[in-house]
Amino acid sequence: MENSKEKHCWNYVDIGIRNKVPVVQLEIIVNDKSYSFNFMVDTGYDGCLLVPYSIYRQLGLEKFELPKDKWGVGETVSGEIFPLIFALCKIKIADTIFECIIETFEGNNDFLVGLDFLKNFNVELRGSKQEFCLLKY
Amino acid sequence: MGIIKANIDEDLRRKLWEKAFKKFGYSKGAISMAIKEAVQRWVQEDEKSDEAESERILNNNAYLKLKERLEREYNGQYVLIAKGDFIAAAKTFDEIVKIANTKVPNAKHRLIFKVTQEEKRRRGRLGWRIRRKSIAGTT
Repeated sequence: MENSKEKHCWNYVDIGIRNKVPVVQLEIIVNDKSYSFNFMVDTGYDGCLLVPYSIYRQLGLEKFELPKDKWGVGETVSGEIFPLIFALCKIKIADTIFECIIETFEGNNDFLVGLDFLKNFNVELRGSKQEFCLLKY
Repeated sequence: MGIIKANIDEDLRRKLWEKAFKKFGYSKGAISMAIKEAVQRWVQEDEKSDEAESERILNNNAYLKLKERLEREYNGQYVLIAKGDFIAAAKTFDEIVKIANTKVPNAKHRLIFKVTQEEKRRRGRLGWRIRRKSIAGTT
């Protein structure tokens, strides 16, 4: 990870598909403990963070859950519908800590950051260097 | 003592053998001990999950009953519902988490949220959930 005062960059990661993907490493803070994960950047996802259901359970995020009538459903571009579970948590990226709704659904194995997360930063995809950078406003 | 017969796939069976012998040594009872431990863990995990689910139902029912009052009296604040009851409200997320850990430390499920009268998000996009893997001639 390359750091300047305002900019934080991560190398694209090979996840076994045709192209390497932009990822960002961030920490989920639960009861003053931080848990670090790599999240794939997905501008097609409009939430903040999506975590695997197993991680949601392991971190005990059901103790920070939103009421069911505030949960939503997720829809893929291919039309599949998933009922989503929402929990409220703090996340830390570099020196910035903010609240974020963490989402999951049963059967999910992906770590994603979406538009709700990215709106807090200026984003740079440096294709030639295979780097993903976040810049603070 | 009871005897359980089960079919598992070859890969899992090999892994079970390896782990069991590594942990319990090459003894006659190694596999039984490993299976006993695995089943105990699974039962405990499942019981914990059942408890969380019943508390989730209880808390969500309480929320529905309290919803109007919360929106009237605590708009913009963070509230905590646990054990089927409204526990507290606070101005920040950190405060409400502190209260939750002090007042209901043993709750298996809690509702913590900011009270707003905003329209809930009903449907969100999850992006492409298709991953293309390289196969011959496609890269």
